Amino acid sequence: MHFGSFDAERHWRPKDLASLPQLADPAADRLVARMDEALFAAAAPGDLLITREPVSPAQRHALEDAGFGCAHRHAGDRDEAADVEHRILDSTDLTLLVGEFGTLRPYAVLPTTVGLAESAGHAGTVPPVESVARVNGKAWSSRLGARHRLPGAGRVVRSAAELETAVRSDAEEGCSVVLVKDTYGVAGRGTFEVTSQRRLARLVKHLRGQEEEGLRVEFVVQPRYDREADFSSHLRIDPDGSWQLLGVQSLVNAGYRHEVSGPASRALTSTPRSPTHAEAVNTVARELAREGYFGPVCIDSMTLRDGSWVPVLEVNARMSMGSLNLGLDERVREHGLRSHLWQEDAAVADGFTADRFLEALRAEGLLYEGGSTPGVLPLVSGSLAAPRGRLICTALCAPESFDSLRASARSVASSVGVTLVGAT
Amino acid sequence: MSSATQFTQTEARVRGVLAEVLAGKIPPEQITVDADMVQELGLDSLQAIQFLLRVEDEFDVELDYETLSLDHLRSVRYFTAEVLGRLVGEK
Repeated sequence: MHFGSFDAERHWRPKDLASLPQLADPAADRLVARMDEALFAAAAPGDLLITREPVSPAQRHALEDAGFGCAHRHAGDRDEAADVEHRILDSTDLTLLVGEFGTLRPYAVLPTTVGLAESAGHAGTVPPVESVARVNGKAWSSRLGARHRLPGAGRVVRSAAELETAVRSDAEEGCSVVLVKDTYGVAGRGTFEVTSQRRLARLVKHLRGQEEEGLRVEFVVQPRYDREADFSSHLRIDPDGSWQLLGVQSLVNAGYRHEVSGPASRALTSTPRSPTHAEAVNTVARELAREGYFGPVCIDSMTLRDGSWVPVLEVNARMSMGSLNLGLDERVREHGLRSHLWQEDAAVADGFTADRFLEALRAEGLLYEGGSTPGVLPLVSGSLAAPRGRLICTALCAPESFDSLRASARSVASSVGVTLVGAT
Repeated sequence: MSSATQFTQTEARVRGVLAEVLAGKIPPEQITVDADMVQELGLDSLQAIQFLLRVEDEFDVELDYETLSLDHLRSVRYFTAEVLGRLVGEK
């Protein structure tokens, strides 16, 4: 049984933490609230998915035709601001329905998830939320990295003064750009690039003001590394602490935001490095289990141009876009295809409907309809709303065909009113 | 130099800053003074902060983030007039 909010970090972040300079973006928040539709990718036939909002019937039919259907209910028509967990909990019918399913597969475990599990008769099937919140903080993974001497681990700072010292230290060692990361920042929100003394002074002043208001400073300071490639390792930890590596995904980020997850080159994990990939994953898994966490895990790593690597950039103790793509990939490999999940921002014209996009893809012979014929499958319809939206699709094809298939899908999207920024 | 000319030069500098932030994503020629930075040019919240920080460097001013939102980034023209214009004028 699948459900879950995609803005989990917001729920885990303590209210008394100081924040980096940021601008409110309600449109982006509304968009993220629709992304739970992507959980169709994680559900098998016979599973149940409860989404926060209704899903377009055309979208559901397209998923079913492609072989990704499952039982579906939505928790819409309730308190507009409430997340899906609260909406389910507030509905006797949905809570009873959840109780009928043997296993909960939340996208992430939030405080409400624990209450929901208890109400549905699944107490103890999700880890303690305090553990979940702790291990999802970048401060936790940075301390883990430091403790195990993993290369590239960030430094945790607890005051504006400490931050200033740490950034100056990295700069003096030759780092032209030093990153300051909010411990619960996600998708680029919560990363600050320090590129000059002036910018450092600006940030320190901003944080001192918050310290004077009584807020607590906790950030991670890290050089901006000379990236060669990003990748993510996906594992599942069982309640008894045993774990298994499910797979590795290549990762392309736009800035600091996820853009593409796809098949990973074997060289990413087999190249001899210190520590080895297996050692790093084992270290993180053992530490997570020691903290009482069980469930899905995504470890983000990076290889550098100098041949070294940063084994633990961050740990996401939840599902992720990479894990969703890994699940899709496993289901289409029997057809000789690979899954490439991508997302990108778009300007959406008034009057656009996801149905038109599906029709246009079908008309062009681009819509994936199951089997071994390559195609594109939109994964989220609710994120394509005027005026700002996000296109979230998978291209099911051979890796060498991904770029051309994505370009064709972009062209079709544009023809029906979804203009992708920077698409060429 | 007339104020109208000065205003245009300021817009050009703002546009130059924006082009740096969006480098590789948007061809500079697409960045017109009236293009919506968020909806048309795809400036996201992280890039918006980078843009504002670079504007501070470029114009030697200090912006008040608490009072700003993505809505202030409607266009180069709007931002220059409504946010930057006052600060530059005050200097």
